[in-house]
Amino acid sequence: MSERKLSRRDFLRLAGVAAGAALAACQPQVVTQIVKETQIVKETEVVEKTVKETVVVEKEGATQIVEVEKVITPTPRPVSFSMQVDANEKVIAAHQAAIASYQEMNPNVTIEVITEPMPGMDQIIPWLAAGTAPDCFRGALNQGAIFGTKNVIFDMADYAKSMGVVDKFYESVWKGYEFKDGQHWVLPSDTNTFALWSNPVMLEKAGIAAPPTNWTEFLDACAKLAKPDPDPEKAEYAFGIPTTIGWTSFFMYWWIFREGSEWYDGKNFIFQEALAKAITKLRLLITEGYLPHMDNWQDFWYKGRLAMEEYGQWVIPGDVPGPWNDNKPQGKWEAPYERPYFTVTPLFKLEDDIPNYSILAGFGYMMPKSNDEPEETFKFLIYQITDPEHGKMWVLPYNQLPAVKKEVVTHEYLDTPIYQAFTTQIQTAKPFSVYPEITQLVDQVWPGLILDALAGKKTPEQAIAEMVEIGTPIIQEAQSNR
Amino acid sequence: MSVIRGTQSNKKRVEIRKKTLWRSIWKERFTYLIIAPAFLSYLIFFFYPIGFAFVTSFTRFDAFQIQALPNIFDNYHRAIVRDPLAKTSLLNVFKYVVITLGVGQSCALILALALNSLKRGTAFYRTVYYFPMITSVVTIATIFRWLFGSDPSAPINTILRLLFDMEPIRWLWESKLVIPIIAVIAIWCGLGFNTIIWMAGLKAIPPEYYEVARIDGASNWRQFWSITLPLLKPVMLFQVVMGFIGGMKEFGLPFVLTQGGPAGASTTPVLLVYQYGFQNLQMGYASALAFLLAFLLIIASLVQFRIYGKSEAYD
Repeated sequence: MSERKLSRRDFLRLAGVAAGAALAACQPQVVTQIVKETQIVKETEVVEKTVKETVVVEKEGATQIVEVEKVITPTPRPVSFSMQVDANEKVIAAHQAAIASYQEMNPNVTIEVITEPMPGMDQIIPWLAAGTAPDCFRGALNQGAIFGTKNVIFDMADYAKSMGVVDKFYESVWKGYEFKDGQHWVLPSDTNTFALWSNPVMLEKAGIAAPPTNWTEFLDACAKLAKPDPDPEKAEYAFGIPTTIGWTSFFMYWWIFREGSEWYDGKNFIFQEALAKAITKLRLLITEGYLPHMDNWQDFWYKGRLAMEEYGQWVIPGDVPGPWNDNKPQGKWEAPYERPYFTVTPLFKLEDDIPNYSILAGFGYMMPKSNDEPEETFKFLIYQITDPEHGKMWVLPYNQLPAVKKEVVTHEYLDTPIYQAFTTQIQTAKPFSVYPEITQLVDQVWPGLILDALAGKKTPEQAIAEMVEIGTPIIQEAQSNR
Repeated sequence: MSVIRGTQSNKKRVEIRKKTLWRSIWKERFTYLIIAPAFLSYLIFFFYPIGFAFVTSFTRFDAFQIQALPNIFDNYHRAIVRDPLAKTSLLNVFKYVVITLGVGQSCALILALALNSLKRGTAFYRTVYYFPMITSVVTIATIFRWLFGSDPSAPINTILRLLFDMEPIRWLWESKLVIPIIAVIAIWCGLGFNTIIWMAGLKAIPPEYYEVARIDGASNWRQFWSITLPLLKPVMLFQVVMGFIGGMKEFGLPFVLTQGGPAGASTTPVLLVYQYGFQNLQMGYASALAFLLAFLLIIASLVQFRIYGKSEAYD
């Protein structure tokens, strides 16, 4: 019997057919989007039930029918969910303490801790797409808006209202986390904002009596201060604008972003005039030599006259004992004179008549739609955030400002000047609206144009015109993709 | 009658071929069994994602839901006509490829010629030049970001100030400078590898050609133009095709150095695909961009092959 060998063509043909069949089988089904309205039905929780039982009692030969009240306590339904916890020893310990305490009160609840660093977009996307996300995870405010508009995480607004916990949060924080139609996709846990840090020793030497409280005073103070040493290792800085309590960093871009005005109203860019003013004012700092360029805005640590990076290295509340305005530097940093004493005051506004949009960034919890116990998870999260004992974790070890009021979560640090300044700032600030459409522009496209304007390469008006020109088609596409 | 007979015999032939095909597969079943896991993994992890991405490129896909587009080619229309960032990224990468191919390959060739003429120490220099290749792109980018910082105290600015009393330059934040700087870093990274490839080509040229040319009184320059360069054409084709494909796929350096800034001046198509897909959740559109890029690369490679294929072959 003659045998033919498998020719290359036959093999390729066979492989092609097999691959085609496999691809056809695996091809995703194109479906019309089904917008599912999630209606939250509040279950009536039965704690205990009183029933009347008819009992036949035989008494001295006579039969008597007596009604007896009997209390039946139902066994609580077992509840279990998982929770992502930032992979840090102190943070894990704080969460575990809160979980243990909650489970003591609610023995039917089991909470599985998944330790992972706070997830980024490239972590959350596959989690949510594959349905493998922990039942709650920490994330940033802007991520919530992106995933919320895709209907893959729970809106927690109704849970919060029905539990009556909204009042526990700072109003500006709660509103700052609110999407335009009232959704709360991220439950605020901790937040941060700006404050002005001043070095009183340097101010005193320059004849400045107190930290500036407005733009004019600030410029006067800058002019009076000695110019910093050009060698960054020796440079001394009188002012700092940290964007968080624990770290000193300086994002000029974000200052403009928050101080100018709202940039977008959901349909149009609305920033022109206020933004131009903000750029002009901050550019003055550079042209006068009070502030170097801002090109390294992405390098979290920024050295500059306003930055005080060196302070940031050691002014971390958990590591520094004692009253907050009387700390000694630790570690390698050596000051040439006795110091540092520094004061922290709320950051002034660039323009008196423009509202101060102050919330820089907020973090909180998101719950994916794959969570089978959203209400129970929410109850635990609220406990963890608002419990006087465990809510302290946002102060320590997170070094953040708790999203709940000082009266709800008390901590000795909350009375220190630094926390007071941050608290004042966050209470008086106007919350900034979160629109996922402009994320791409804000993060990826516009910084360069603003930095060009700050460096004098473009006028503020030119930069803004380019921002609108580039931004308009991108935002239109983003809206059509919502 | 003969037609029917012919059809029957054709059918028979097909049947016989089918039988023999299956028989030959069965005969080689052990071989197929061995290659099956690799083939399956290729199918699952390579062909399936490609097929899936291709399908989603015609849809609105946000990683969670697939929606039909009103116009099936809308993503492609958007990429080609409507998206200003897509055009900018393509222009950026063309600039980048021109610099890395033109300057980078010229430098590598010069270096290869120099090393080739060395009598001793070739291996040492080859190793030294190859070092950047084994260093992570993130490490390299981080170091160069520090070197090319905008601060007056950044190393490059300090050197320029000391030597020429120049004002600090915003290297990575000047729209006109950012792509050339990224290209220079890429050239530095790839210099060792490219030099080795050119050296391999140089070694393959028979030394007799040069001896004959010298006897005929040809100068070094003449030898280079008439012997070295024509005989390096296959290597040149390889370098141009690989350099072009590699350049068009550039991602790591702009991602770490500038995130595509300032204002998209260093955004490359692959970086844009990443940003649209994983930061803006427009996976469908990102897939369309990726397929357009792949299509462009295939066309460009075919053109390059055609151009070089026409040239004379030397034995």
